[in-house]
Amino acid sequence: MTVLEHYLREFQLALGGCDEATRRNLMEEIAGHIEEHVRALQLAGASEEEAMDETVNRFGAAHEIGGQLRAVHGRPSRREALLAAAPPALMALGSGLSLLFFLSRTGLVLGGSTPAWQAWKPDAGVLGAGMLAVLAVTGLVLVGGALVALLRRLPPWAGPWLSAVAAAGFGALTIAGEDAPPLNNALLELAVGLVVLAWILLPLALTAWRDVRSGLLAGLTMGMILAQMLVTNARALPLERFDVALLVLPLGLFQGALLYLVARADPMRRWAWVLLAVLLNVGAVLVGSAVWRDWRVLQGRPDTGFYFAFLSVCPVIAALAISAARWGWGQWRGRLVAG
Amino acid sequence: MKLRHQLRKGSTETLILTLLSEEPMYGYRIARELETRSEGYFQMKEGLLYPALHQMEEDGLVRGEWRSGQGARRRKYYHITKKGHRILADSVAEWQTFAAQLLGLIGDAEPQAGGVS
Repeated sequence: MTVLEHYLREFQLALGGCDEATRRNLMEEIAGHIEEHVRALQLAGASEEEAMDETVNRFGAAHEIGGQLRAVHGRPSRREALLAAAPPALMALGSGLSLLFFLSRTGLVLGGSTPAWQAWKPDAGVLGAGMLAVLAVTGLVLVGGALVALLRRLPPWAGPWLSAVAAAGFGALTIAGEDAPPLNNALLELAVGLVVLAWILLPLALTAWRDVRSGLLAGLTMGMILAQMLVTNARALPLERFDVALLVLPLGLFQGALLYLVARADPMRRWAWVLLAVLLNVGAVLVGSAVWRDWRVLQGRPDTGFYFAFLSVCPVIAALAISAARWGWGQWRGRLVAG
Repeated sequence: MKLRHQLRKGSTETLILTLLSEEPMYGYRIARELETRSEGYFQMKEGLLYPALHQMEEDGLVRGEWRSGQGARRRKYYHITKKGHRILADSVAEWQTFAAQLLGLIGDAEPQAGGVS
């Protein structure tokens, strides 16, 4: 491999956060510049090797220039930012519509053992099917979006779609697992745990390895879905007010707006929006958990509010750690090439 | 050298817009023009031109257009936009004011022993 080929390969690696078409055009532009300079130096009397060395030296470090280009092109367009903001809003809309369907059919605000609920109990199956249908459509749209994101090789809006599917899938698995018989096998439990961990980490790893913004979008979305789950659960005991769960609608809209701002903001402002989104997630988790905290404590169970609040921040921390590892890897490779 | 680096960094956009206001150019040509016209003063790592050009394209100051060049390789020519012309006029006026004020202050001052960096 010649110095030039090696250099262009490094350049291509440094453009990792850009989409395929952008990367191809950038490579063509850069390669054209370099080839033209090499030719000019050769015409001036330099040998091929001298011309390549001089050109590469004058052009600058591939990882530095590639990083700057990635920063320019890594910023999603308005359309891409809207797509990135859609999953939490969509999830909230699905949950909210499903609940509105229930409320409109039953006229119930209070649930549980109220006389009105007893009167509606025979229709619970029909209601459940209707609510599930709304949720299923939401789930299908999310899965479809995630598949398109994968087929298009992870565009800037991919993270929230992959994360929403992973988090919602994890939630569904947890609910299903509550009634499942215990595994009674340490190795099997470990294997299941590892698969679940990989399922959660995969969207973060795929996006954060490309660029920190995509990773943050993915990490924040996971926390957002968790917050939505807890807010919709706030209708449960001891409150038993179904209308409380409708708070998920404004929450989802706020979350979507914050994701849009994180996607579009310049690096300095981005951190302010990230912090606000994290605080919103933590706040929503704590409020959602507070409703049934008293009931859990009365039953001798631990208060899980702070645990879930911490859990909502973990994906963001994981995304930052992966991006930092990617940066360190790039620096190390850059030094190797320079050496 | 540090001062020159900072001045160059602050003036890259104006320099590129000045060249493109004369005619559309592609990256390599811009680098050569900058080098020739400034007799090497504005020479920099040439690759750094591209993040600047692409940022200007994102900001709507220039518009890129691929054209088939000599041989198989295409070239991306940059055209200055109306917005670019406006920004160029503003920044030229700003630089001229800056240079006049600076020269008014230090115009006749002799460099101290040890020279300037």
